[in-house]
Amino acid sequence: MLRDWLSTENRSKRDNTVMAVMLLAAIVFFSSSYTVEMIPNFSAVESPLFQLFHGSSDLIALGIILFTAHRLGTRTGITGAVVYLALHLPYSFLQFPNDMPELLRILFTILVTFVGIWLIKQRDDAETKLKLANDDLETAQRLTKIGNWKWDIPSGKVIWSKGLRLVNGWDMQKPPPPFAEMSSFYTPDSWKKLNEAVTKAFSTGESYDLEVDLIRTDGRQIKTRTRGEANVDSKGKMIDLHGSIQDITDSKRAEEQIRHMANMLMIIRNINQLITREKDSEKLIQQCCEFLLERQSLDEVWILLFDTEVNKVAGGSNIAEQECSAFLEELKAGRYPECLMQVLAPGKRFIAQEKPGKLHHGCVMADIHSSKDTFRSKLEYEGRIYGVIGISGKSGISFDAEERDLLNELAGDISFALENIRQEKEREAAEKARRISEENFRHSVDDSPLGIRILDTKGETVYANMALLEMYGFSSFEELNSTPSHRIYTPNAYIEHRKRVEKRNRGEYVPSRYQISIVRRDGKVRHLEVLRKDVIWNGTLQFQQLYQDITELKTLQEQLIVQDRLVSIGQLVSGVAHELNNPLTSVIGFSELLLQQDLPDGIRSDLTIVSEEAKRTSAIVKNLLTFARQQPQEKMPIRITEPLQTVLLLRRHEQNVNSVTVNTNFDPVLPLVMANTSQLQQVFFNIVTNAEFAMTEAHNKGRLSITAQKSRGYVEVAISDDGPGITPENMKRLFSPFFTTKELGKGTGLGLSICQGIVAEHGGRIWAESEIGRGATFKIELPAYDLSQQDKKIN
Amino acid sequence: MIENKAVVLVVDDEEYIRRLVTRVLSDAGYAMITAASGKEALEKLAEMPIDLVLMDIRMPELDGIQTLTLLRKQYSIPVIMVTGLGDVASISEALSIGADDYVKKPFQSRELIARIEAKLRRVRTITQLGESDEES
Repeated sequence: MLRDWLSTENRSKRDNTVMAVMLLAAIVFFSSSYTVEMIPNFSAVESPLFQLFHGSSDLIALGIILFTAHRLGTRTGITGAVVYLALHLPYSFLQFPNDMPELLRILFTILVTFVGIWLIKQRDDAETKLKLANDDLETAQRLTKIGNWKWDIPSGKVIWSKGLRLVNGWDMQKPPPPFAEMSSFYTPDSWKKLNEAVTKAFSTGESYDLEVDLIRTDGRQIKTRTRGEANVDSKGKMIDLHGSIQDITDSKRAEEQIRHMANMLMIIRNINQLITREKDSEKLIQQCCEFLLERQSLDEVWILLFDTEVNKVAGGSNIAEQECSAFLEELKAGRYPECLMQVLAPGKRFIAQEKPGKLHHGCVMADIHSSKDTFRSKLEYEGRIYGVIGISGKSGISFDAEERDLLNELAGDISFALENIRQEKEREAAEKARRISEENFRHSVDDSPLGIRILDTKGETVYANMALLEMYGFSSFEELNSTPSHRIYTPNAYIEHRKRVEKRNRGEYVPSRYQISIVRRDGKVRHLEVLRKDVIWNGTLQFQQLYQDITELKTLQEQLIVQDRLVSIGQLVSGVAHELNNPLTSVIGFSELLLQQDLPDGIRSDLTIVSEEAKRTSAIVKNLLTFARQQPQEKMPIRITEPLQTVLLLRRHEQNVNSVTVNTNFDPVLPLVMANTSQLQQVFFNIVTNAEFAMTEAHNKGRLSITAQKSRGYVEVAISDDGPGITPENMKRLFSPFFTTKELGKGTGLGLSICQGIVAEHGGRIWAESEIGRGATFKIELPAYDLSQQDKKIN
Repeated sequence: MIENKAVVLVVDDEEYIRRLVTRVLSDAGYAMITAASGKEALEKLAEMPIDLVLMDIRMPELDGIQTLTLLRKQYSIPVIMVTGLGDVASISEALSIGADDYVKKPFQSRELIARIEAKLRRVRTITQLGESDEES
């Protein structure tokens, strides 16, 4: 109890008490000292004790004061000194200058007192400082959870700081156990480690710095960092081993947290890199899961992508592979766990829960996931939901706000990547469609057999397909554009072209379908049919022209027209001929009847002429009918001179009348020809009458020479006249249908073309040789008929 | 037969042709009946006995071929077709239907008479044979 009272903690209360006591003591002294002197008959000299007491009262007082100061603090000491002085000094001063030694003694005493007090104060201060320093150290140790120890080797004494006792839970008062008995404080592994280190320190003086697992007295296991340092004397012998033990559990946890965050950041960086280059969504999510599971930062990760056909899943576990695989199968099959359903709810984007217990109710992974932090997020971008990502944290590490933000960001990045992949696919599809469309276009327009050409409002060609270039005989678009119109069109076509252009410019109507004739680069003339219409090309109004080559068609048409005309004419002629037949029959018949009667000579001769001419008319009509007849008739081996002679006979009368003489020169040994008599008659008839006409027109008479001879497998008949001859221009068109030099109405112009047809059909040739002023010779050549051929046929 | 002359029916839509043939054949000793159309020819055939028909192929409405077809259903008398110059196909057709001969316009009188005579002679021979059969 006394000790308690004396302890520094009760100072102020103490001080007050002491001060009171001091005052009291001082009064006692003062009064005692002088009271004694007031005692009558007391002589200070007589009592040795009293003398001693009186002489030494100052000393005693001094001693008390000093003792007080030392023991009870400077302030108290000073107070005492002041009180003593206050009580003693005035008396001494009053005695001054009588009692000088007394005064000096008092002053000396005062001086010593104050010096003493000052010294005591110093010590007090030092003690206080030390105490404060100690307190600071203790605080520092407490706050940093560190404690230091010292093992004095010679004495075997171990000192543990307060801080150390806080770390390991050892009682503050109890002395620390010796080192050998410390095994219970450590896990077996750690004890082993520590033992080794300490042993080493003892033998080599080497310091150690270890992380060991310490078990506190209350059973809690903490991570500590223990350091030991040896003090060795000059001889190398260890004096002591000292060191510190620090509870690093918290910092260890913080360290892990930081490492975890660093890992997460690295993972996210990897994923971000992946996102920029991975084009396949399935690979993307697989890689993401792999990255996330790396470095053991997370326990489970899974990503589900919704697909129209089969869901895509990826995922894994760092601690529960099998259960995770089963879980992924469930996801793929469309059986979704509670956590997923919840996160898909509209308005929600993610779930982040510590120890989510109920959330995993009913799930395959319930046991595994319930004990960890759960993070589930929609993979969504601008309203489109791609899937869900699920992350389960590592046991012991919880998702703090920062990590949750990171995970959200991650989910966002993955969604963005999925969006990009989707857009890329769309772009590809569009690109493909565009390419197909372009190919369609190319096939339908570019490759079209019709010539297609687009012109702008100024008439410039903006596009021309292959067919068009080919029609025009150009090898490139540039050639087409660089050749002026007047060099492409035939002269007539060019005139028409200009007319069309002018009409269009004036806004007049121009037919949208018309024909043109062009001269190709190779000189050939082609006829093209053009169809023109408005078109929107490259966004503006332009003109499309379709071209079809109708050259053959046109020729065919012309031929058909000719054919047609011929047929019509044939039919006409046929009709006419038949019409003529009856009147002719009448004329011939009645004139015959008349001739049967008795007539005067003059009448008879005239009538005869009538009859003859009627008969001749009939012969001509017969000729016409032959011409009109379409079917090829039978050929027979005949002598070519027979039809010739028939014709000459027919023409004899006319020739007489017109002063046309005929001389013939027929080879007596002429081969036969395979021919149709009447057709040959037609041919010869035509040529002969033409010759007669030419000669009589020129000079009212004529000389006809006809020869027939064989030549190299052919039989050649030549009919020459002494008419004016045929001009070179006419020579070219001699055998063309409807070509005639006669006046209108005087000849059909069909004669020679028919002859050519007949001769060609007989396998022969017909041609004319002529010089202006020297007449004309028409030659007909027919293949000779070989009797042996007949034999061949039969055989 | 009329007055011992063979009766010849000439069928033609042209008046002058009818007149000419009538003249020529009358001079040659035949009794002549004319018809201007196929229809009229059939009527005439129904009205009186005719020994030979001379018929133009080309006629309006009922042409020679058609008339011949109808005629042949009832009569087996000789028919000579008269054709224009180019009627080869029609001639074959007529002959196959039952015409006995043909002659072309314009014709030679001699030729015509000769052909008619030849046809009638044949008929006479057949009839005579028939009559003698009946008599006996």
